[in-house]
Amino acid sequence: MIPKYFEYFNSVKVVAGKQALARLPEELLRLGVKKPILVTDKGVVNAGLVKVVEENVTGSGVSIGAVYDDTPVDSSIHAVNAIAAIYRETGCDSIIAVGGGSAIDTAKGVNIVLSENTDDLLKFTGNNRVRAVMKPFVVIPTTGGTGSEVTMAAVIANPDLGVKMQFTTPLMLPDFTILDPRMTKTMPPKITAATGMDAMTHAVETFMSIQRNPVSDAFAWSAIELLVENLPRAVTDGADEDVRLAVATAAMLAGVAFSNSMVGVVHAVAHALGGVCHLPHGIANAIILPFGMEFNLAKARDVLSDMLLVLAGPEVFAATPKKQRAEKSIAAVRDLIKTLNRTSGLPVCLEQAGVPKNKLEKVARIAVGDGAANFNPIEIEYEDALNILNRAYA
Amino acid sequence: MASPSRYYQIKPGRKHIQTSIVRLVFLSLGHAFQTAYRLDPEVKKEIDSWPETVCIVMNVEPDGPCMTLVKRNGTFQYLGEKEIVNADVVIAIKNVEFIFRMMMGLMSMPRIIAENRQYVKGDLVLASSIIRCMNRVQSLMIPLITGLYIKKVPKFSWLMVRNRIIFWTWGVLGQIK
Repeated sequence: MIPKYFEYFNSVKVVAGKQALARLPEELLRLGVKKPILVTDKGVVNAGLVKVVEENVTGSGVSIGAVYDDTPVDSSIHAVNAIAAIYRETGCDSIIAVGGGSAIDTAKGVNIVLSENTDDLLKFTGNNRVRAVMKPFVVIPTTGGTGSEVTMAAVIANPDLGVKMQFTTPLMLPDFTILDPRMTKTMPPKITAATGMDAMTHAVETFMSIQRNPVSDAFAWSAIELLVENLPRAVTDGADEDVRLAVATAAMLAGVAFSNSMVGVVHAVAHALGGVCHLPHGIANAIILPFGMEFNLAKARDVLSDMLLVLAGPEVFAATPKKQRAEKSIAAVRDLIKTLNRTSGLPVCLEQAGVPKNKLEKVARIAVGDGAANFNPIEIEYEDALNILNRAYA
Repeated sequence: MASPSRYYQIKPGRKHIQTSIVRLVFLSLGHAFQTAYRLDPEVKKEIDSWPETVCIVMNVEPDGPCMTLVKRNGTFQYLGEKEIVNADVVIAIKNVEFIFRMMMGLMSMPRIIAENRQYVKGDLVLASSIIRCMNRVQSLMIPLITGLYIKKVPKFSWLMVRNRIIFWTWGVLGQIK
């Protein structure tokens, strides 16, 4: 059954596959630009990935105006303003983000600053505040999980005010994104597992969200299918480009899905764990996901039952009585996490991840105020969040 | 070729009845917020966690009724439809039809958020806190059919009943500040 009302939007062209980066110059020229600024971080540079981009630009008529590789781990307003200044000084005409969520969010912030001709991002916090025509913008993700290459949101810290500014607008979507398996091949197994579980969480939470719709469901279903089949293999055999491409594609599909139907309790708690305990987002999602699914069981039983088909396969689905399918789905997710724990050391509980027990109350308080909680089918209260955290602890 | 005057113009007009009802309910809701701050410990705790001075506007696009709330000097007040240029948070409902349906119990606030029938200017975390308070305030205002308006109805308590009586006798007139 479809909802009485829904919206869907995604304008990003996806160029995916082996040697996909070779399409970069032509796509830029199609947009009428040829001097992008490249926004990345030291980790990506040290992994040799900027060199891969450089090789594909050589001899093409496109030159990289400047490479900014000082993007911090958490996107910051200082980095955004610095990049915008370099962009103007060097006469660049477009933006390429190469990296994970923080490089991409930083680049999105830069685009707002440049397009709105401002130095005060705070004026644009909220949703749909940006009105200007945006600069041409490209994303080349180097992790297979965040889906930021296809999302309408960015979070940028303002360290001077001690706040994290959130922006959502469809105008922030890049013009195109390139998924080239060479860009994720160097990810170590644990990070592959963590970012893959981030994508899995996006896809699963999409199904449970009150904003879910048939279009986002279709994307999420494909994402789960690809992840179940390819994520364990990507962890044990990261050099396999086919598998890397499959996981990157799954992350993109999950990104499209949750960009249009939002997430819920798992992300609310994971964001709080990241803010308070600095737990990496993918690891937090992986640990909390099965508990979030259990929390939502009362309202999401049907959806979780259907999900067993893609999580465990048609044989298990057919053999499981209908009343037990939702629980079996949650068990399938737990099995996947245990497999990733064995093969990559991905933590399975908060204690293993080094979260101090005395921080759980603060995490629960912050989780309740997270925007993602608005889209969960069941209202999340402090006791609920604390209960989830305690159960996920050991 | 036919003259342009042959083709009739559609002028926007006004939805006077819906706008009037929304205006009246905003008045009650504003007074309910003021009352809840004084009587409901959960609402007080939530609002006390906000910055010292906060200005919130809930309005209806493009130029519909609005509700202005201000926290300052340890008080929380409803300021009617006072126009504030730099409110900390503005929750804008995109059409009077949506907020009217919400007030008639035909569409809940969570549904308005889920269906993108509103947008927020300002801090989204603070906006989430405001929505949580609004849920509690609505449960103060509306007995029995509260489930039509919010996701989770608070457990029954005699304190809530007492607060509801106080609101509908004094609070709704703005007498509790």
